[in-house]
Amino acid sequence: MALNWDKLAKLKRDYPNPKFALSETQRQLKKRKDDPYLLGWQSEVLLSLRTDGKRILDNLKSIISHQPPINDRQLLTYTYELLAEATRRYDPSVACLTSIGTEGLKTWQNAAKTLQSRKARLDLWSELFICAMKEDCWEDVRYALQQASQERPQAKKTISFALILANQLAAEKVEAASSSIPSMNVQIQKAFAYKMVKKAYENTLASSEDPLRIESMRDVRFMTQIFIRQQRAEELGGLMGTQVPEIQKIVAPSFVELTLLVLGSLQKENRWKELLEYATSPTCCRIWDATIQPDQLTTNEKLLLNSWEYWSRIMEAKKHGASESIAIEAVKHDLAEKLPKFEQALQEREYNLTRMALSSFVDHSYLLELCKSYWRRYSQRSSCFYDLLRFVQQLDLDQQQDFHTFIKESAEQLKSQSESDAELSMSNWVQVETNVVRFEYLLTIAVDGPNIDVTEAFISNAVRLYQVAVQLKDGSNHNVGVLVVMGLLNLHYQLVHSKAGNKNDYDRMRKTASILLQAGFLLLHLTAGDSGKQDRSLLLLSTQIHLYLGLGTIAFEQYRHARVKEILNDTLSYLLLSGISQIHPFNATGTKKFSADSELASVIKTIKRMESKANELIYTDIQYFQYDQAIELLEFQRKLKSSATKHFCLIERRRIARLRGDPIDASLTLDLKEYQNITDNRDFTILPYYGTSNDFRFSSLFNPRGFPRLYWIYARYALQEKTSRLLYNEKTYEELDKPMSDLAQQNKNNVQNEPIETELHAYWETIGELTEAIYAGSSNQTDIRSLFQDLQKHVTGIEDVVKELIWSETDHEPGNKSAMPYERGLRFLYGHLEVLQASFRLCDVAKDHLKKNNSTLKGKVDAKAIEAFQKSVKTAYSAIGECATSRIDALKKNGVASLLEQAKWGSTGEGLQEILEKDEQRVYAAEYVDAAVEALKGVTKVKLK
Amino acid sequence: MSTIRPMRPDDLFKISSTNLDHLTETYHIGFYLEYLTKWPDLCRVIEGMDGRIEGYILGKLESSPYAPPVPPYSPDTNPDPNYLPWHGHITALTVAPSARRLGHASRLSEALEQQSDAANAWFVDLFVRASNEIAKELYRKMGYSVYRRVVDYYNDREDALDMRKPLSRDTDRKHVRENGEDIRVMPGDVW
Repeated sequence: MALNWDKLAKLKRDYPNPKFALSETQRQLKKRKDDPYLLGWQSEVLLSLRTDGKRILDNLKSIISHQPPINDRQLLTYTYELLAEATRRYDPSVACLTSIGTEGLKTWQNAAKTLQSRKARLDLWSELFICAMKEDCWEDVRYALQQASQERPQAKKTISFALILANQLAAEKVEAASSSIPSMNVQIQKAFAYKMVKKAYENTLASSEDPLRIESMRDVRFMTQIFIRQQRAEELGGLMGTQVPEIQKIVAPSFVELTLLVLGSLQKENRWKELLEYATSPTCCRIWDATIQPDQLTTNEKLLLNSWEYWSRIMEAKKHGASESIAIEAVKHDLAEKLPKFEQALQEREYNLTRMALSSFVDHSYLLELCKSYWRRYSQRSSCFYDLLRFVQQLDLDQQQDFHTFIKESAEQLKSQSESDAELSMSNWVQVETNVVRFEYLLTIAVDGPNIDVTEAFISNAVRLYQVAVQLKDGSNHNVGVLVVMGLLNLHYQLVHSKAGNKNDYDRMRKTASILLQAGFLLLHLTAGDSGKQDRSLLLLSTQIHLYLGLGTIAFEQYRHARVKEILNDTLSYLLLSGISQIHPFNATGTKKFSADSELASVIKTIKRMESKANELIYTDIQYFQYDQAIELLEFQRKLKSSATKHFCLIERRRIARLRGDPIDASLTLDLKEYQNITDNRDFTILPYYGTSNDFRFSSLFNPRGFPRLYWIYARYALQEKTSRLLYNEKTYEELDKPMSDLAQQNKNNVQNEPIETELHAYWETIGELTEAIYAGSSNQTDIRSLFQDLQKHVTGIEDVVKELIWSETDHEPGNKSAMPYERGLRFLYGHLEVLQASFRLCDVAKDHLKKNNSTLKGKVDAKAIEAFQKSVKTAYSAIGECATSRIDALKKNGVASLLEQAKWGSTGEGLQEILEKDEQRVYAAEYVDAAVEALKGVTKVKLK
Repeated sequence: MSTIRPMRPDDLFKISSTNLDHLTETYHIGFYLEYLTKWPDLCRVIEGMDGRIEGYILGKLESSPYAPPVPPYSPDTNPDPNYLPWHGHITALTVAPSARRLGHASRLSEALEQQSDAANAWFVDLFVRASNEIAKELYRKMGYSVYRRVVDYYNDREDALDMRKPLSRDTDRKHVRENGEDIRVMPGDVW
């Protein structure tokens, strides 16, 4: 008697290990060789073991030709998923899977024949509809819909619209995978989707009773998506503009939305002439008709005029649709004629911004005056700086200086006015001054080659304003405080990159350390108390800066208050977790409890849960399918599935596990599909930004390498992860090696490694080459020998460098270097420990290999040489431990005193003394020492083996 | 200068700056997706010139989950002032701190009111904490008035004010009243 689904589920639970499960399937199949449940299970096990593709496909063929036909829906779905995966993996003739094929579908047809009621058959087709969608097999989705439509479903309209979608997406998938001209089938499917959706529109015009008709904005949005995907925006614009009551009743309340969609799509299609014609047509907006007066405009037209997107599309169309001089003349005309005439139709701020945008397009001769005028009107608003930023950046240097002088003078005048005018509050003046300081940052600090004296003066100025703002107790001091911090970060950057001095210029190192520490102290001050805990952007800045200081426990505490949850985990967690394995891999205990690994695991889990929530909305019963939402939900789900944040977190978890000596099992990997088309959802707009758009230093202000880019993931998978997989027999996918290696190669200039990573890259390359040579059984004698020699040199070099960093008694002299490790120091220590761990393991692997009779290493390297190398690895490892311990002792001995000295250093330190009480500084210094000791203790916990 | 457009699931990746505001709740993803899929017309974002989301509104259209006491519903024959006829509801309205005082909240509310009006709703309502003077004043300026006070509505036992703005279907303004702050109802009376 064959198994059933429940018995299979129990067996799968009893045999979680694939190797044991395989033996069990073999044992049981001897007794029941045609059992489809057992065959399915064996296929699943073989797929997980990534072996024997032929047997998997044969097993699955046996299931689908099974007699009597299978009608267990769970088994059908299971078989569908296995067949899709096996075909993708083992059938070389399939470049792009849109269907599991006729034979696979036959099982479903046979199952349908065994069902007596229409409802049961409809349920069966719904099941196929869902599992085909999950496997991205849109041909089969289409097939399921066609079958379902023959079972007299109630939701005829839903099925008809879903069929349009399935055709469109099936065609798109094949088209995307093919580099040649679209096949006839693709063209037919697209034509079908277009004709059907057009018919739905025409049925509405004809007041037909056909369920295939446009009845609501949902249907219109669906129609819009199909038209836009088929690059038929111009036609869509015409159809939506039809003055037929049946259509206008639906589209009129969403006039602006539809108009902007059409304009946006025409822009994407580069159809500039059509864009301009549509944007200026009477159906769109009548201001272009000379006979129309402002009071004749409709509400919809006014709403459109107040939309930036409307104006920006028109400007783009004018720019691309004609020669530059004609475009400029056209915009000049708009500026001189159209805009003033319809000034009342626009809100005041919108009018002013549009005027500036148009002026900046024409030339900059009027822009300066417009910026000044805007400043006069809005300087008391926080948004004033951000509104003007893009325009001030376009002014030439003289104009920028003129503007700078103007705003400073206007703030001065306001100050004297505020003394006599009770209406003008102190908070208004502080806001104006804050905007002045922001522009000062833009125009004097965020420029090429900023001057240290100028930056210090900027900081002093900002500190003075802070002292006024703090009296207001309305939170405005935070905005000014951030400017002080940004000034300090800029100064820090300048000192770090200053050409003066040499590598061991301790004076410069102490200065840079002091500046960063002052920024950290100020951030702790700003984020203390209830109002500080409410400023979550500030807390995230503080998180990042405390990571820069190498103080993981404090960074985590700041991050915790920022309440990063749900979707923010995907977009913002990078601020705490980028490279955390190299800063704080071990759990912290005590009052500042923190586990980087738990936090990383939690982020991955949250992203997966969000994806599964999106799945629930997409993969519904065929009759409840939300066809109008499907495209956007699928895209959203795809971005979560392939989220780069998940990969960054996973890589950090794997690094932590290795440093801790924990096994890397299936829990530290993702599903293979999650590695496809990795998408970066991180939001980089959160940290304060007052610089120019091309300020290359921006992200380096917060972190020495900036934030790792997507390419870093490819490079990491292609080298370190691949090497570790081989060395430690870790769970990952071999089939990723080639695509990741190709992606890494294509983007090798964009990887943007952290400086220590760059230094260590050569070590990893050597370890990687040796590992591959051992596993691939290289026959090249000289290669292996010389590679081992290279590695030996590298490791000896590590020992020499680390010895230099061991803290000695003489280092305690005042004014000498700092015992704090900072991020760079921790990355140095943990990064080298990773290399030493891998080298040590490599030696073990090589020694084991040599013991084999047929070892390809014999004669290329001998056991003695490996032993000697392993010994030098141990020596370097001990030196790193000694270095960490010596610094822990130093910090405990006089860390607080040293940090308090640094807090006072220079003119910036003097400024800080005005803001922070001495006791407060002492508390922060003690916290810093504790956090630094905690971070360094982790270094001593790393085991070599 | 900004643009109001429907909110899409993809926008959830860009709401960090609005949601870092301490008064803005970051809900479970299912909550947002339910709103975006069920009431796409009532969920809007306002986007700045640089493409950043500066604010958003989430709303829904609904009526009490039971039939009106006297069907079909008419304000003239309805005996239960707590029965909620077909109406729009503002669930969340937030503007990033850097984009405050620019009229974004009004524009977003107007967009929701326009869609509710098109859906033939009687009014738009919302709940606000009784102590939130800034929000109350903002909504008053936008034409909302207090319809009733829901006693101990929030977890910390603060009262909620149920504020309403009639739409064009309510030609005689029969769904708003003058002394709403004095009309006290219990949370159980409110659906």
